[in-house]
Amino acid sequence: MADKMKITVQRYRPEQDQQPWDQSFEVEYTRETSLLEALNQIKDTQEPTLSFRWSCRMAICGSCGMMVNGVPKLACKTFLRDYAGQEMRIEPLANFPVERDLVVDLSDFIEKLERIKPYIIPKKDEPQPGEQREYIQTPAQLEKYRQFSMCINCGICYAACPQYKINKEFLGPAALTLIYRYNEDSRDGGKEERMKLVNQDTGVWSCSFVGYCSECCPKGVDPASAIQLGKVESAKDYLISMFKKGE
Amino acid sequence: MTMDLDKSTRKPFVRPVEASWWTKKGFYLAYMLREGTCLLVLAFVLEMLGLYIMTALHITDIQHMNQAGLESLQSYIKFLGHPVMIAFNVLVLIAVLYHAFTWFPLMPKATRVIIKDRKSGLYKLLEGKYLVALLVLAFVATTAAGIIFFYYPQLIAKLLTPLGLFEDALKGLFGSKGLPF
Repeated sequence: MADKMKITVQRYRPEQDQQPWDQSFEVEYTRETSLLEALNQIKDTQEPTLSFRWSCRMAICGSCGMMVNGVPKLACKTFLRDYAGQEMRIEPLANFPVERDLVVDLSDFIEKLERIKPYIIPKKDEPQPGEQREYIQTPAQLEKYRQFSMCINCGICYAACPQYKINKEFLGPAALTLIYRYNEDSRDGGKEERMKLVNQDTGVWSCSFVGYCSECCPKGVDPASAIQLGKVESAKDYLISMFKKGE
Repeated sequence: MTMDLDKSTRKPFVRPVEASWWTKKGFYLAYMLREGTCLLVLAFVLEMLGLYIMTALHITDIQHMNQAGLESLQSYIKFLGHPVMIAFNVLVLIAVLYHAFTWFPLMPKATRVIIKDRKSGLYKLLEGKYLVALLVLAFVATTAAGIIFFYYPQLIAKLLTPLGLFEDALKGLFGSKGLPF
């Protein structure tokens, strides 16, 4: 048995539209139909020009983030059965410029990810990259950052964040979470460098702890927690710097 | 239409931010209400400041208040007894409780306890422990009240007299001849 769902998609074709407009489709679905499958069904059988990003179909590539009835979600992890009896309204991920249909320009987010150096920077007195070396880490040391390393860079937390909505300079939930993740890694030596980004106006202190990022995160990363912990680190950093000479 | 392959047709559309964005989602609204309680707290602080001005400025020494002070204090207490003021104070109480009850569950996010190689149950355990918070609050409040009452009993008595409260208890404390001022 197949039920029917009305899905309204926000369309935008830069070569001919001045602004986005709505187009509605009717799709059949079963218990297992995800929103991503429904969109592919629309593209295959009804509207071949509909554009959206996707890849893995299993909530690990982070490509298919979009607004579902105003809530940022991964299309592959959203099931039509949960909206039975309602309609679905699909918009591109909020707080990012719309490139085409459901495709947004994530370059601001990507640039911020690069800026925070999301990789292990060896400590100065330790072997540098290329030199052979094994890093030993205890389970307790891993536990300090494990949850925050689950991020798939889908950008959903940026779509959920009202601070990013009104101030695009804000480093944002995912970037600040990854800063905390690498700073707390026992193998990393880049904390001093990254704390400059944490401490500035656009760092952790731009967060007013709305907490919607953690509510929406499809991987249970809890960015709001990482940012509040980042505030503790920033406060400690400030206090310690007061007692250091020449800074 | 024909495609011009030599030219990019990029024209990113930036959606406008409406001033009413926070009214569109229950989660944002709850947040804004929590932050908004600070305005009511500010009004309450001004109310307390009024009480301070009416009393402290007329205290000649630590235990005595002049006649003008007593009169202004009485008129201010009468003002506080107005139904509108009582309703306002009830509103402030509700707002502060709302803030406390929605803020408290967020606090474990700012702590991380690792016991036996795992993110500890303490994190979860702390959630929803309102009773513990209330007990700590009650302990701090009663201690503060006790210190004030111990060092400034006459002042407390003077503040309570116009309200007609605890008359018998005060007489018992300071003798049947009445208050020592």
